[in-house]
Order: sequence, then structure tokens, then C-alpha cells
Amino acid sequence: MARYNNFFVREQVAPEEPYTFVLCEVPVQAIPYALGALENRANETTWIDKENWRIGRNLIRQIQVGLLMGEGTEAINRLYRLLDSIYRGREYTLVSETPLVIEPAIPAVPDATVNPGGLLDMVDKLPGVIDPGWFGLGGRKASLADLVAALRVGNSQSATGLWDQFQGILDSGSDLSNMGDLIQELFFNSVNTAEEGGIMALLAAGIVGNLAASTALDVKMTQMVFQMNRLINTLDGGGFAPEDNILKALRGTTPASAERNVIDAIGGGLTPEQIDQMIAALEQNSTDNTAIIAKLEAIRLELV
Amino acid sequence: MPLRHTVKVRFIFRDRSGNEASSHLYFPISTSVDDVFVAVNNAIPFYAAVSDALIVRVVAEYEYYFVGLPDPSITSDVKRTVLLFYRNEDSRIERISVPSPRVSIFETVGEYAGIRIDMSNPAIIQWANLTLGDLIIFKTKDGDTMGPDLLTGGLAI
Repeated sequence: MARYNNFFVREQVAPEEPYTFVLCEVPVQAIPYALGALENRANETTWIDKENWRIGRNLIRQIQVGLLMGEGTEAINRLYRLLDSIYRGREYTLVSETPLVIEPAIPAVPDATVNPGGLLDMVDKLPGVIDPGWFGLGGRKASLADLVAALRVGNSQSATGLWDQFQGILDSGSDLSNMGDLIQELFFNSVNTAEEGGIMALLAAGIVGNLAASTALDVKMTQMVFQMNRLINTLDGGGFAPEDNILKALRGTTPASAERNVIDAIGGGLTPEQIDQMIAALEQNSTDNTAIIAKLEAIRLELV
Repeated sequence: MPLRHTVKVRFIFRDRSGNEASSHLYFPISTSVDDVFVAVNNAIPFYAAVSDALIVRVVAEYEYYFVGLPDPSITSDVKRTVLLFYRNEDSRIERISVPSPRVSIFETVGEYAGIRIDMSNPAIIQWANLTLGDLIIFKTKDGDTMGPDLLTGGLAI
């Protein structure tokens, strides 16, 4: 049953908890009117009983304080301080809880100062500073591209020069042409378009270096075998034509046996003229047998 | 003309429909609170013998009139009020209302200029300190302790 007095209807029932909250925009210039209007509703005579008035009055007071203090604004301020601390490393101090005083005050325009310990400071220090004169870049902060380039131990320009050096080696071996094409693609396609391919190119270059060294060794050994074959052929014909060779010339018609070798026969049967012929034959067949020629020359001189 | 210092006691009656009405008795200003309520208890049976309505509340008011004062300032405006909001130990918010606030107690810069009280103003600090200590303990109408924290205040029209 509703109860009445002269001015107000005693029927207001306070809402029950839990409460939810919203942020809203209120023209600041209208706040005095809002405070006055709310104050009228905080009057005891509008509430159904004292307990509801007590609850409702406190809710109205919260709204009034919210209008004046900007609780939502303070919540945003707390977020600002949190972000400011994280990013710029600014330290805030609670000077007083009532009234709430926190220093430094939040400026109208964010202070660009970066303090030690902040995320921005850490990021700023992360790349370091390239010393002046280093690759001609000098005196500025290293970028991510600088770091990648440094890790690559080279860049696309040096890769071109490096490839030119490899090219001569690779051309000597046709069996390496496929590998060469692959590496060339790495250098001039991957590296030029994506610099991070440099590490792979470096590894490939190492492999090619090893292959090239093996190839050079193989060529050298082939040349040595060829020279040895020539020497053997000169000495005994190597089992092939021509039948005329040094050992036959030395041996003459005397065959070698278990008791007597060819050298013995040389000591007893060769004449200086024969030695001269042998030397001439050697000189004709090979220019690399100087040691043998020298030995024969010494024997000839002894005979003379 | 004698000064009208009195203790005003208001007996509030309520009828079966919830309507309220009051009857007033006055005592000398020198009467103590205990003596006032002794008198109230003595008077209630006499009211009951005369009225069918129930006495549901008794209000005693000590009224002291200041005399010989100058005229109010021409800038005074009792339609304007400053509300001073306190938070008490139970986290409830109460307020003290002061009519016709001085312009000087409000903030002078920012969006709240002229609307929100300046917490650094000496007059406001005085109010804040009043309830910080135990020098004076204010109570709300239903008995809650006012304060001790002065949160803020603002102009109400």
C-alpha cells in the first residue's frame, strides 16, 4: 500500500546488488544541475523506507561523486600510468590516497622522455650503434637489415665478386656445371631478392671450394701419371711400340739374367758413343729427365 | 524582544493510511538532552489519550538564533549549494551541504572550473581536517559516521 505525504510519493525501492557500471559522457557545465536534481532524489521522503533510502542514497552519492571525480577518468589515468611505466619507464609515486595524489601528474601532452628500464629504452638499446666508418655506414643505429647483412658475412655485391672467382674454378670441370648452376642461382636469384639466402650461399661456396680443390688435385695427379708413363715408355717402351727404348739400347744384345742385370752390362759394354746416343735419345723424348741425363753424362765422362 | 533560543521537540504522528503530521513542544534552551527526552516520555501518554494516531518519531531541535549580524553579501545565493562528499569507514558516501558557496572555493582552471571544489583551497582543507581527526565526529541522519575522507565536492543548483 502506497503511503503519501504532502510533497513526495514514498514508493522508491532501491535496486539490489550486484550492480553493473557504464561510462557515459556528461557535459561538465551541466553537472551542477545534475547534482541538484540527484540531491532531490536523495531525500528520505521519496523512498519507501529507511533501508531503501539508505541504499538508494548511497547509489545517488556514487553518481554525484562520479560526476565530480570522474572515476572513469581515473581508471583511464591508471591505464595511462601503466602504459607509461611499461613503455617509457616512468616511475609514479603515490603521494596521498585521500585525496588521490600521484606524482608526476599526467601531462596534457605525453612527455617524450624515455627513462631507463622502459620497453622503448630497451628496444632503443637493442640494435646498438654502428661505429662510424664501419662499411661506410657509420654513426647510426643498426637496423634489422644491418644485422642480417652482418650475419650473412657479405652482401649481394660481394657475392657477385665471389662468384666471379668461383667461375674460373668451376669452368675447369664440366662435371661441376650442375652444381655451379645451382649456386649461381643462389647467388643471383635468391640473394639478390632475399638477402637471408646468404648463409646458404656461404655454405654452398664452401662445398664448391672443396670440390674445386679436389678437382685441381685430380688434374695434378693425372699430369703426374702421364709424365710417369712417358718416362716408363722411354725406358722400356711400356710394353707398346716403339720397340726401341733406353733399356734395350743399354742392354744391347745381352739379355738380363739372375746373375747379371742390365746395369752390369752397361758398365762393361757401352762406349762413350753409345752413351751420347742414349743422352740424345733421352733429350729427344723428354725434357723432364734431366737427372737421368746427368747420370748418363757422368758415366760417359768416366768411360772417356 | 527576547531571543528565541529554544529546544523544539517535534512529535510525528502517523495514521492508518501512512499520512504523517506533527505536533510541537518547546523547552528552554538550557534544557539538557536527557531532560528533553524525559519530558518527551512523559508527554507521549498524554498525546495518546488525545489522538488516535501513533507517534512514530520524535525530533528534538536545539535552535539558536544569531542576532546583530550584518546583512548577507550581495553575492550570496542560497539557491546555489556546495555538496561536500565524504567516504566513511563502511565505504559509504555521505555529504554535507553548504548553501551559497563562495566562488573562491572552486577550481579556477580546467573543465571543472567553478564547478568542483579546489581541494587545495584553505577553506576546503579546513573542512577535510575537521573530520580527519576525532576532534568532531559528524553523523549522518541515520547514524552513520561522516567521513573521515573528504572525496570531492561540487556546485549543485
